[in-house]
Amino acid sequence: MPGLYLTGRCFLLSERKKVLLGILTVFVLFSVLVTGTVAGVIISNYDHLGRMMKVIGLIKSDYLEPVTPTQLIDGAMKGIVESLGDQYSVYLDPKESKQMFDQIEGRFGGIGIVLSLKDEKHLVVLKPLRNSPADRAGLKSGDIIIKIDNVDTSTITQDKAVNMMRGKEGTQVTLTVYREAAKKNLTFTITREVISVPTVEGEMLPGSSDIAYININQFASDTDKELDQVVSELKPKHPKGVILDLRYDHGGELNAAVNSAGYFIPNGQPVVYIVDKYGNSEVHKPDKKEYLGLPVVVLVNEETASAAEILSGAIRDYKTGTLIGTKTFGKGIVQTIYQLDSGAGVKLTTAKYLTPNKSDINLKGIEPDVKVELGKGQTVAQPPEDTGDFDNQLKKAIEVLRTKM
Amino acid sequence: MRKASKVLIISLVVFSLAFNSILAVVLYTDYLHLGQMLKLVLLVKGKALKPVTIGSMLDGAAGGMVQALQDPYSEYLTTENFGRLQEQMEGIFGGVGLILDASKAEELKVQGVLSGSPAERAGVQKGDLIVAINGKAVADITAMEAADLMKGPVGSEVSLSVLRGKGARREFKLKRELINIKSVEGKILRIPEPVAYIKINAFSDHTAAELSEYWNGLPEVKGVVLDLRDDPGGSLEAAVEAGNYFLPRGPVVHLVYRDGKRETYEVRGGKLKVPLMVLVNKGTASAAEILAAAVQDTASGLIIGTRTYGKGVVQTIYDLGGNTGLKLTTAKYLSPLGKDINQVGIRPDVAVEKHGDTDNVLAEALKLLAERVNSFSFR
Repeated sequence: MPGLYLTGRCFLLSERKKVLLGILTVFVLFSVLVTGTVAGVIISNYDHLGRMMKVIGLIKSDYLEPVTPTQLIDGAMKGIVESLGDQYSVYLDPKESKQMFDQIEGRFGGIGIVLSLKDEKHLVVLKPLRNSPADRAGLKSGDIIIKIDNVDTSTITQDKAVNMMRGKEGTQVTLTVYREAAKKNLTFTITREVISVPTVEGEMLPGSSDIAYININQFASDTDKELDQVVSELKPKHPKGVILDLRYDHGGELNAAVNSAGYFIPNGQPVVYIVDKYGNSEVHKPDKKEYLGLPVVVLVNEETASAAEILSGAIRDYKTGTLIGTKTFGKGIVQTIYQLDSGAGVKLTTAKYLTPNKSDINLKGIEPDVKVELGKGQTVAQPPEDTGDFDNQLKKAIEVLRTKM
Repeated sequence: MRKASKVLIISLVVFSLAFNSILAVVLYTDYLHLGQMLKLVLLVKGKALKPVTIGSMLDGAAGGMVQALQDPYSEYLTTENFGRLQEQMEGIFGGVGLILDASKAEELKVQGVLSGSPAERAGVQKGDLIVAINGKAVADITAMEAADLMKGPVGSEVSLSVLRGKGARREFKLKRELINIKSVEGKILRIPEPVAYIKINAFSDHTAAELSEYWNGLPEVKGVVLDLRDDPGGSLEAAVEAGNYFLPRGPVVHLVYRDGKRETYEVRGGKLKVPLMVLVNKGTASAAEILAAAVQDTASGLIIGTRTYGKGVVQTIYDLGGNTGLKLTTAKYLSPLGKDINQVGIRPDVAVEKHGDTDNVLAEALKLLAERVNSFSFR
């Protein structure tokens, strides 16, 4: 009997040993595999890696000023993202990353201006948002910002300039602008506020009691809910046609644009296909919205971009509306923001999108059905002036809409 | 035999385990942000729409590290830039043969057209105003950048938009050719006594030989005008060699390295026996400033013109193989008397602003030279 007991213990021991041995084997195999992969990457990129190591070595030994390793690695990360050669992909250090998330979540203070996309060399005010600190201080469309808190804007990037204008609510920023009309520099000291402006505005068009005018100036996370509100206010007025003004709408949240499309395309249809680098395509359809079924004219221009082009493209492809104005900006790619540890982040272009007819509009833009330029010196009022003094594009929109009503 | 392979396998396993533990610790503690960098590499490789190779990411990382220094002169040189830099050091590169006047910030004027050059054959004339290069407005870039845009591989094209007088904009398409710029040019001027006018366009590997040839062929002169205007510098050694002709025996420049180590370049000098005037402007930079500062500190001559550029740091160029390189700021330099001119420039002894189309700066130098030559002969 004691023998049996002994055997039993032996049996138990060897079982445990087997498990341990198994775990050890897996661990060793995993280690060898990882080491092998790393070795493979090193061998196949020996030249590049060697060069990088030489650069590190030379900076550490010969560069005139001392440098910390963290500074170098942060620089390397910026460089890795830059190696993509894509203007929309950026590495964000912890400070930049925080600003980005604050902005997305609407937590930042600002002065309330929209900058023009057209002029990359200068900071041109497209418009001050209505009743924003900038508007109240007297900034005007067309003002060129030449100094922010005494920093010459020609020495910094546009992103950096935007970040400098933002800041904590209640703090001040001083802008020097050049105003062509006055032919001189003007200085404004403006107190930042939390900017919360409606992204959708709607009314019955002045002078036409049967036309609804809806302007979406950007797509924020709750834009489609704002649109629900505007639609429910306008519906009881029984419009027979809709003018959707997407001029100067630089885009924003993809989901908001997809959901907004529900009012303008047949129910249950795809709005956009998002295609990643492996060719996987994801269909996006609106979330329970009722197609309005009314004649629609969409106003677009060269500053209609990104999410606004998704909506315009869907309406064009389903032929549920007529596009009027000028060719759109042509941004057909989607960025994703990833958070890294220690607060840093990276914004990467991860996908392109295709309109319902599978056309890729990146760098091409969307050609309007009816091409109309603004008149010389004409500006766009959004929403239009009550006086009925409309710009060329809006006039054409009314004319075309009338033929379809 | 069996024992050897057993040892090999065991050491491989031990190495792998050690390597993985280090990797795990680095990732877990995010040592020097290395863990983050690895995650970023995986994200860019796995998620970014554009395909990218590990190799180009590594090159990007190297470039990013150099950028992180925030030094305007340090640069990671890709194949194209490295080749161009080498050509410049050797004094040969593809160009169109224009000499530009960058003395005014808001305009870029053609000061001269090299005879037989692509620019001359296409009809670009002296006095033309260049408003755009390859479609890029000149107003938005510095004169040095403009000059860089003109250079490029032999056979490639550059397009210029030019204003002439009050006429319409003219467009020129020029094919770059090998331009062999002389580092040193000279002529004899009379005031009425003969004086030598020596212009150094840039300091290259040819400067010493060209200067020596010119000097040996020089007749007897009563004074020398050394024109260093718009000389962007170049090789430090070339500037020191040139110092031989214009400076007394002694130090020309002190280099100070990061560890505080000093290196002093000296010349035998003593060749110049007549009064010297040195012309400078804000385009006088780097190696040209070394020479001008040494002339000022040793009182070998008068500095005439406007304040110089102010580049008091020295770069070393490292060949990294594979036609890439690293240009790194490795030292600052001090004038013989220990002055640091970085971001300050050299203040001329006689301040003269260029105005109009005649060279009033040269005229002032000749006037001062004439006074000295005469007082010399009275003695």
